[in-house]
Amino acid sequence: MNKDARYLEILQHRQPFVSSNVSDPKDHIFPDVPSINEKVYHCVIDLIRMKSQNPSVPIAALILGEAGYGKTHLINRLIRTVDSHHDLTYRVAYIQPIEDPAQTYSYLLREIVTNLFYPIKNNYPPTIMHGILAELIKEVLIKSTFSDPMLKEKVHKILQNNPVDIFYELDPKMSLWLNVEKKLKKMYSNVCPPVFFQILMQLRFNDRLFAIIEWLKCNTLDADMAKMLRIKPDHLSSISATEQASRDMIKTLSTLIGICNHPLLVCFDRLENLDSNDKVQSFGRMVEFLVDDARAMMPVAFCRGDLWNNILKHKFNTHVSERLESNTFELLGCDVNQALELIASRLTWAYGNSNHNFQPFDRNMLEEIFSNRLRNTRYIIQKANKLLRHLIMPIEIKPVSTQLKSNFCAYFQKVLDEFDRYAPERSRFRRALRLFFEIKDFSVDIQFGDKYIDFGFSQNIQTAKKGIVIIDVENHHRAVGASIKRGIDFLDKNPQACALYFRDERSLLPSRWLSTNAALAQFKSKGGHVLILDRNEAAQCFAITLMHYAIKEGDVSVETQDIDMRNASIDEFLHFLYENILHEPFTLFKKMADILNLRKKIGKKGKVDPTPTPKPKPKNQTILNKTIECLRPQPMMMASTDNILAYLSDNDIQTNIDNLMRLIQRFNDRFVIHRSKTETIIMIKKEWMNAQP
Amino acid sequence: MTNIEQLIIKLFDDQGKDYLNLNQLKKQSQIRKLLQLTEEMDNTKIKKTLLPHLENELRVTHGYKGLYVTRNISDADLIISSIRKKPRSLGKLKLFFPVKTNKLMKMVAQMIMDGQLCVEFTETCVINLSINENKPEKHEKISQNEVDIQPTNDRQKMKKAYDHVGGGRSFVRIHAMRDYLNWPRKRFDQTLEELTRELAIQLHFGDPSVLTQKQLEDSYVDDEGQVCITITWRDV
Repeated sequence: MNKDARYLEILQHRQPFVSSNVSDPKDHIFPDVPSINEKVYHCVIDLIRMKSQNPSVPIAALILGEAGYGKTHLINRLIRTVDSHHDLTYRVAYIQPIEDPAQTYSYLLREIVTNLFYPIKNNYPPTIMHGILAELIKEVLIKSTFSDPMLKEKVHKILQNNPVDIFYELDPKMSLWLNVEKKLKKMYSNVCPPVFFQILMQLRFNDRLFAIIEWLKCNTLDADMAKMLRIKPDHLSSISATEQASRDMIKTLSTLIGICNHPLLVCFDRLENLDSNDKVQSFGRMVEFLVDDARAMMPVAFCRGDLWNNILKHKFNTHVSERLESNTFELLGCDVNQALELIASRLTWAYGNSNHNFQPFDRNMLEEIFSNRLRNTRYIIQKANKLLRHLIMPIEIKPVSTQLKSNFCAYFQKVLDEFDRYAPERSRFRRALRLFFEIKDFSVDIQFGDKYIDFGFSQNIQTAKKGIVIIDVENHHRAVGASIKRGIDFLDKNPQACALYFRDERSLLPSRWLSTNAALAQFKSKGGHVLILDRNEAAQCFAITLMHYAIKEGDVSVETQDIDMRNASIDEFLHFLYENILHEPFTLFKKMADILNLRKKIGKKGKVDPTPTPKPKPKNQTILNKTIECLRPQPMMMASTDNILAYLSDNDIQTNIDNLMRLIQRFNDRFVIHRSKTETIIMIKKEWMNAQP
Repeated sequence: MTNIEQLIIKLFDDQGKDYLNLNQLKKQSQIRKLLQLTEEMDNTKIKKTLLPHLENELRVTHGYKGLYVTRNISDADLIISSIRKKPRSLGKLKLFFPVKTNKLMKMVAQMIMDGQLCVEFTETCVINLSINENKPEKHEKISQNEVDIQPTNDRQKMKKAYDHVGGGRSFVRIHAMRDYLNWPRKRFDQTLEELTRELAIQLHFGDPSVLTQKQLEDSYVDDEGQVCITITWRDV
């Protein structure tokens, strides 16, 4: 085997350019190229340093960059380097877009706590919170006197090597712990409530971790959990009371982080998903609150430039936009040297050494390709992938739907792998379930009922169907009872309708909740459906929601027939769901379809066409030809669907918008669909500009 | 142009106006009849009825006294046109103007700074506005044969357009710059391509769904067939 063939064989099995997206900023698969966006990175580090030295100074930042310029990658770099600065240690919280603006602060608190309980290292149990608390404990223990010299030696050894091991190497029932708790309460009595340290110090008991997290998230605890943590059981609180409690908790956490002098960078990514004014305002409130009231936390928003400058900025009040814009940085495209460095680093990752001299590529050719313009990192990786695909034969391009399925499976597997970090989250489940109803042609009413009902749905195809969805993640019997009661009331008023009650199996109803269980039995007897989400089903919901965010951000790429890569569109994602949602691995949705009698109808339609380039029927061929004929003379070779339909009609071709769109979507090797503000625009693809239809 | 658009434009021309409050529009018998407007209809309903009849000549805006139908020219041109017709105080301009007061104030301040408007203070602290006739018009009408004559100059002009349209911000929309410069398409695209090759600017794809068809057409398609929506100028 010659040298080139050997290179290609390696690259076939270890493809370095297959992924151009950073779906999760905590992934560390490919090597980082420090020279790309180096300036912005150092500017952010300088801000964190300033925050660390002057915690009372309000600081926020805004990072602007279009899709593919490395926004999520920059967060990834900031996470990778948390401990690599000699004079600075900071922590990073990655906040997904908010879904329920009524619970702004509760949501922010949940996301911050989830991030604080992320492991310091992979496959290593201590979390960031363990690390923060260990710093405080270290301070106390170093000054303490010990009656047992053996114990003193052991403790000092642990503190010297790795303070966080204190939680795992000392007996959790030792009296030493109570002394430390007492001293911490006394030392910080003016800034943190005593109960805060009482709860946190129980991190030494592994079995109490879940209860501690729930308490920190201000979730209502049931009697058992409260007893375990040695506190009084909670009463059910109103939304506004929970919001206030969440604000207070964030402030307390901020104080704790401030004491350790490890500023928390709170990164808000994927702002494209703030798709309503309420969500935008909610985001604004979070930023304002963090800047003004949680001084050890520093909010940084990552946003597309055009979206920020021309849309989002105008929706915020000046307090928010001015706070963020006071430190604005722009991500830059790569010049030829950076492009080459990026390609070289990926090749080095594949070969395991850097002596490849860009094999199997020709360096001059790469220079020629990337020297004429500043390019974003995603483009460079996609271009390299295309070049490589030409060298690796045979090339089998899978249909977009199949590629999205592989993408989905990766998200799904990732959630399963880290399932403990995906606690039942009502808003994420809601988005996944809403998508199911919407792609199945139901209208969804999110204003339906009160806070216990997530949404109503209705459909008038063939037979009228309507119902409600209740997603219950509460751990308090009163809240659970109230949700079930809404279902029973709805079924009393609408005996023919459908009521679906969802609950995560991680929080099953205890058998001793007699009246709540009786209410659930009554709900079932009236025709209500109880769907307990198992691990796989909950993971499906999370994966759908996360992938939906990523698609909106332009963070999911698919390979096209001409071995190019482009961002998958929302339409394609919905189409993928439509085709697959009743098949493996979507077991939850299969169950729902059975309840709603949707399976037969869909079963006939929902078959995937495996042929990548379908051959159109004669009439459709005429429509396609005429569409191309219509588009070619237009400026930028694009026209609205209305204009195309009018052109077809003038040429005596009768069709409708649905059929036209179906054809355009099916032959997406020829056309690009742009949803403009006012209409749907069809554009001929570059490759078809001159080709004969 | 639709019949309704023709009618409204004629109304504007006859009355020497560039905009009309939707309540006033409702009072025009011919339009009321054509759009089947009733007395009970509020501005939002009128807007809903009117919008399908508007193509390129008119748009609906939100101003001091609610909703207006306005000539489809930029807000800056509306201000210029309004003051040119009748120089007036800022307070009077604000009343009945089809642009929200906040935005209007910012624009007027910028136009004063750019030298497009003159400002005079009276003894009673009233701010009178008038057009600065010494300032050359921002739009240049340059014929096709002038293309390529002054390439360096064109780059400077494009930078000026970038600064003006973006108001000091980056990610400036290409369609707005094209509109501002009003150059022949070839001249604009050539300058853009040269600047791109020189790495002086970055082209960005952005999200086309936030643009209208006209704005999309006035953006730029690169050598890869991708629609570029905004540019950023690179400080070297």
